[in-house]
Amino acid sequence: MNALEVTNLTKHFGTFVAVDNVSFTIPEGVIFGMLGRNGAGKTTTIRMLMNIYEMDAGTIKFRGNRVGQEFRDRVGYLPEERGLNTKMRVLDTLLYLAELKGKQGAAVKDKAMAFLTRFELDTRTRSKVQELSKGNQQKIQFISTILHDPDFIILDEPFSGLDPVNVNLFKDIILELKAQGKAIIFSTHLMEFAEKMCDHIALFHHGKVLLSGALAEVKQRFSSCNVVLHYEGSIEFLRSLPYIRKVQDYGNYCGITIAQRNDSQRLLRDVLNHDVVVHKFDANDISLNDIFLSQTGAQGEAA
Amino acid sequence: MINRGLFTVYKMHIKQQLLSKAFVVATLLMPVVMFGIIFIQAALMNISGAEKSHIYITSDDQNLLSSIEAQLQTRSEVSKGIYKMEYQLVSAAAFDEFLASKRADILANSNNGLFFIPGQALDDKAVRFYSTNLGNQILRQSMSETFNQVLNRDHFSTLGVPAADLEFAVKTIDIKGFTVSEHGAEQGSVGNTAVGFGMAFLLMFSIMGIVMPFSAAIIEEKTNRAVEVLLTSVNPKQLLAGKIMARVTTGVAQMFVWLLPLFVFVLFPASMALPPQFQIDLGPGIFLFFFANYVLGLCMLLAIWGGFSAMFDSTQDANQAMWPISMLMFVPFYAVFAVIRNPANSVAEILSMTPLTSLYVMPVRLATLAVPLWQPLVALAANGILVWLAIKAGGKIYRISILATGQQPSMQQFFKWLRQP
Ligand SMILES: Nc1ncnc2c1ncn2[C@@H]1O[C@H](COP(=O)(O)OP(=O)(O)O)[C@@H](O)[C@H]1O
Ligand SMILES: [Mg+2]
Repeated sequence: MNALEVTNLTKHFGTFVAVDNVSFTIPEGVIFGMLGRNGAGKTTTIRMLMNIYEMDAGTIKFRGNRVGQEFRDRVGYLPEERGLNTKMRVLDTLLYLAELKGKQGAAVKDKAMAFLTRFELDTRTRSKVQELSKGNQQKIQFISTILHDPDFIILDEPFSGLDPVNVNLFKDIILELKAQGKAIIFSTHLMEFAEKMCDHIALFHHGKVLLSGALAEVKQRFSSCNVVLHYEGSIEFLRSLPYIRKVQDYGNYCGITIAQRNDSQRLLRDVLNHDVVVHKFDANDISLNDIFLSQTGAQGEAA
Repeated sequence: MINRGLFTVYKMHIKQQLLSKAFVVATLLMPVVMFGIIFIQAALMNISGAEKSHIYITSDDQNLLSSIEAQLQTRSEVSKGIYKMEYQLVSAAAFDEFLASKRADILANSNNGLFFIPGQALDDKAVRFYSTNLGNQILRQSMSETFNQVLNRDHFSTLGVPAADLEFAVKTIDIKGFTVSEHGAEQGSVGNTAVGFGMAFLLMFSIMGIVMPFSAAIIEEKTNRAVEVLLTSVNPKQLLAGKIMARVTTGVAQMFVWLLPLFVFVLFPASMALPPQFQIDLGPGIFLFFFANYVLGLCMLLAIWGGFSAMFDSTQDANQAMWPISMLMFVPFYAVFAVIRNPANSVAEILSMTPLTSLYVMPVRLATLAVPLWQPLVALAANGILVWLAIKAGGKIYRISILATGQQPSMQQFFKWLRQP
């Protein structure tokens, strides 16, 4: 059964179409990546899911029913523009937001303390939110997103503004939540994160979903005639080879489009002959970024 | 559940408001400040409002001067030394010189002054007054009363009118007030009037303290984006309603604390040894009306204020754009001046039933007059209707604008929103 079904969702701002007839489905228990460049329409779509914006057209169904307050009570939502009442105290903030979702009592408090400890904020429970650093405020907000034990978690650009240690901490928790069977949506313009974490994706571009589905299937669809090469050395010579259609170089790895499937054998031989050190040679593989670029024909911001 | 969110928002804000330092300080300090002001005023001023000052009385007629001096000694401002008097015989020719010698003292204090009562005044009652402050009606009135008495007495005594008749002629009239009610008539008191006006002032202070900061609170929640998360749990109406209810509760609690001494007066009149002219005689009706109307007024102003504030991204912008709305708060207060001279005038009667002005005017009328029951009910109903409209409009504006950032809505857009269902 699908956790969420979105059909023909549309949103205009004046004459501008921010979300244009978008459809996708999210199965239970997966991590779903909404990918796309800034301004692609991800946040607007999420806000319609959360009923923050009214949609102009379309339907959103949660477990077969149109979304309503019940859905919003079961959702944990981390907005792109973070925001907490800065004058409230840390623990009060967490308990208030959980109570708004219908969870209160000692159990919630214990859970809040456990999370605070995990994020090394257990000494700051009585601090006002404004006394915390931006990064720590983000942690508080992340805790508030999951504290009420939601079935469904929506994270809009969850990693932006975090240092690597905290990115890992967030990632670990997201994976734990997935292991608990929760469906997770996160939006990002960073393809690498999506590639590593997502089971399902939807690729947003100019308000439209260009493609969506299970990541493995999407990759399979685009991977024939594509090689991913992790290397050391110079691969400039590749561009002059007749059977090479395209080279997308990322420095220490690259995506190479070849003319025919079996050209991959020639390619490996040529690469070795040019003294390039090969760390990994993956025929019929493609990076999400290459798919994105091939679909949009644009230079992505992703790296 | 629809009202769980509302209740949670309410509970949080009540905690935030009632336990805030600002509230405790405002609530406890206010009575102290009020009594302080009254005390200081009383110390500076006697009941007639006379200010400490030097008054020179000059005349070119020694008899007249002596009579005036004797008569002035009977006035409390003089006998208590609030007016320090100096009497001087000055011929008309020497007057300019004398005035010049006192100019420095007259300039020193604008309440100082000099009167010249020539002997000629016995015929034409023409007196001259020298001061930097000719608008000092209190001084002019008390002096003119005295001069009139002296001049009348001197004038009529030369005509051979007996002294007793003279005293009768110069005596001022004393009208004692008796309030007539269905139970009879009793000696009137300024106590009720004072309570009526006191309540109007407290109302003004409370409304300012409760409503004005609402704007900043709404804008802060909007600009720090906390509202986006809140709105995934509660709808904008619940959020706004929860906030308004918390503030109304706070206001009522505050007003209750302020009026507590008055309740003691009313419930245990015997416990207060008030002189009869300050006796307070109020039923519970006025308080019921006062609190009911206060709640309505707060709801109305908070809904309008909160809704409009949500359109702005900074308090400065909001204050600039909302000054016409803030008039709704201040201007009605001035309606109390319509009742000062006569609580039963027909303008006051209308203002006591008009929305917003009724907040201030009706309590004064209820305290001083026997107002027919339908009038407070009309006042409540009128405010009630306006509250309903204000909540509808304010809620709508709030809902639409609380998440919109960046460009401010144009007038056109604004009215389009209001017309939307
Ligand atoms: N409230 C709004 N008013 C007008 N335009 C908006 C509003 N919100 C978003 N947009 C526009 O819609 C487009 C999609 O924005 P958004 O959904 O935030 O993109 P993303 O999250 O993918 O970066 C952008 O061009 C943005 O400028
Ligand atoms: Mg976004």
